[in-house]
Amino acid sequence: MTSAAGGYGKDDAEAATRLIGYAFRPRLLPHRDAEYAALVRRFDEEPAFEDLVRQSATGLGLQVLGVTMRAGSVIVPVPGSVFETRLEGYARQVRQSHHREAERVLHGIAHLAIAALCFPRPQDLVDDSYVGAVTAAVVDKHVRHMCRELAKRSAEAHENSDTPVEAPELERAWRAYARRSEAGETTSGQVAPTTTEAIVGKALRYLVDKGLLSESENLELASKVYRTTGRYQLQVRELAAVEAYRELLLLGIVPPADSAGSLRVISDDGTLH
Amino acid sequence: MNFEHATPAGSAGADEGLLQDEGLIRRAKALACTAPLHDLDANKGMLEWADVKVYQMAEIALHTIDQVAIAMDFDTGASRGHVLGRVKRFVARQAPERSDEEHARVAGWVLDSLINVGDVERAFRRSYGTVDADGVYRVRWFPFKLLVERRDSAGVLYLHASHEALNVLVGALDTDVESAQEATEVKLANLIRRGRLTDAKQVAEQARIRSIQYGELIHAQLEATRRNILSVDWMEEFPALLGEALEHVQGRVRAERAIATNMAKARDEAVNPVRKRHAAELVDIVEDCIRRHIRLQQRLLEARGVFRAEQDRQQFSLKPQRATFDLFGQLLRPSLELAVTDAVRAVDCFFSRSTGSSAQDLPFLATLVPALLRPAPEPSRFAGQVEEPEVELLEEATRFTAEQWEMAERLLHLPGEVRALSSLLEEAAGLDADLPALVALLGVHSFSPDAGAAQRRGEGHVRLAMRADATLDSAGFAGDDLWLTTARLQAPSDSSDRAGRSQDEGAGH
Repeated sequence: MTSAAGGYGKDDAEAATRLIGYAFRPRLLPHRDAEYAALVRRFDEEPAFEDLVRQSATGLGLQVLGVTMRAGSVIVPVPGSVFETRLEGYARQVRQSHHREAERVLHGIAHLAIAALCFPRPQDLVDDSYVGAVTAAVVDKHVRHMCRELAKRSAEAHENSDTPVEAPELERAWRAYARRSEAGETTSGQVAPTTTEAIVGKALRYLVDKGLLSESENLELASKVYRTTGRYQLQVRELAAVEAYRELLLLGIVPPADSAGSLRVISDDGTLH
Repeated sequence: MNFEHATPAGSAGADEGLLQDEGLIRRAKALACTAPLHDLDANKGMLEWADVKVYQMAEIALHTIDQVAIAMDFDTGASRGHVLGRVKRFVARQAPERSDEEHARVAGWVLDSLINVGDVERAFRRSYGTVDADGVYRVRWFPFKLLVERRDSAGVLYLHASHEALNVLVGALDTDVESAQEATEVKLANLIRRGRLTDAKQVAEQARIRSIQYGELIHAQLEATRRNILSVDWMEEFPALLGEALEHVQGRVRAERAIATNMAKARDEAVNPVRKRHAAELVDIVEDCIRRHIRLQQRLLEARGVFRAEQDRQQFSLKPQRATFDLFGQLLRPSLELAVTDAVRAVDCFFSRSTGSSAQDLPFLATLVPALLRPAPEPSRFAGQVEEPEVELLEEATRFTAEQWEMAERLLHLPGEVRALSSLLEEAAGLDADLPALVALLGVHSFSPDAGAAQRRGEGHVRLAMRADATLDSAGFAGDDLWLTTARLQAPSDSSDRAGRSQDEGAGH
């Protein structure tokens, strides 16, 4: 690995960046590619090589979440990196300017709900061998159910959840979701893109494209079933959930820490508490 | 355990003087729910494809909602085609002289208007004012839906009536389901005693819609149990509710059974045909109610089994070894509770972290500029040279042409005369080189004609062949010569035997 002078060998930089490159081909897995598998093994066995990969990634605006045989090379962008996709770019086709924010929230809620249903209990998220499965209909039903519960609670608390006419952005997210049609077709028989069915479907297909879910046809359910991959579990558990949780804390929301799931906050330097 | 979330209570706050507002808000919202129906009649003049002033759109809309509500069940509702088919008949009654196509179009227009397909959210919006906690009058939006489209487990779209629609339809905007049902039952029994069957039918229909509403709510609770056992209070609230609901269903089934029996008697005894029909309809409706209640009861009985199974699955498995997140309770639920502006930050963060990195396509200037500057290819007027297709001739599938068949049939049509095969062959050879072969085959075939089959087919004639004591040697055929004739078929018994039983071999090949 290291030359006599203490530096890196001449091929090491290439190997390290190649491993980073594999992170951008998420549908390729180490056990299907001998070279990939060799690099993963090397990352595991040679601390110096691991350092090199981590440093190279940092320079590119990336963060190494994990490199395992099951998940492959999971290297994700840090906030503000050029490799980052935000909801703004993802839900770009939305034209109505006054609905833009609500539209983005709906897409984000769909992603959050998919993750929540893939890993319904905290122990599922922790269990590395756990494979969650969802269908589009289940995700939509689940969120709607949650919206109904929140509506009920709001009614019990005698809150007026109707939005002021002059400030539509103050509407609660659950109301925006509940009001959106769940299914519908355009005159040409296509699924109407504004329905929640279409929004959830888009999110699932996007995750499949990213190699985070795998899809299969279930004849019994007559619909597509989406299964989680190790990469998705890792990204949700190690990063997305933590960051979103911190974002909620910043907003002054303290999510409940009930007996079923406990919380974990990660500080900026990456150490766990 | 009521439908309050359909018409949420106003924010009267603690100020007692503002409590009156709640009733006002409720009524304002109830009024808003009827607005789409008024709009239908107000806007019908704007339709360009037909003069639709003769149609009472609000009535058609009410009928449409009725049809959807009646077909609604635990899992499914009515398909669009089913509802339209029924509404079309109703529309046709209003203007029988108009075309069928127009009726269908009016029904479709009303249905689409009730779904509000033109709106992005497919919802209606009405504003109303409230005095908030600070004493300031504020105008707020009240969004609502009447009919919604949903997809069932087989992926087929079906229609579903919203709570607002059901409430508008039933006309009980601000009542407790439980007591309204009781009142309905009392009213129904009363009407039956007095023999007011038309009213009784209406009341029974209302009772059915109440049952549907009630069933929906219980279904939602059971679904919640199946999903997340912690979301339902299984210690006190839900068992009490289940017991209550079960008792309620049992009471309803008993009451409706009694009504059905009484009505069946009324139906059988009634002399007036109109009254008889009303009674029969009422029996149908009440029996439908009973069926619905029995299904509801089954679900209620299963509920505790669901709880035990879910408890085994969700609670008695191993606790997590490491601390981690409850995505559902700690992220999704709080995010849904936030206002849209705040929620967008949290969900955006989750989205970009969970989906990972993406490689964007970056244009390379040196190739992009020439690509952009390249003149668009002019579409040529002609599509290029047409290639000469290589045609392979197909082998003729049939041995003889239609003309040959016709000629042979004409030659062999010999009513009242007898000719030798040899002379026929010679004549055929004169007409067409290939014809003798066909004539010979037909001649041999008629040596043993199936007269019975010909008679069954209804043919009047059958061709007969008999051996002639001569040798045949003409047009390339040799063997025993045949006498040929055409015999008329009369009765089932005669004519066929003579030739049909012949054991002689035919000639000519």
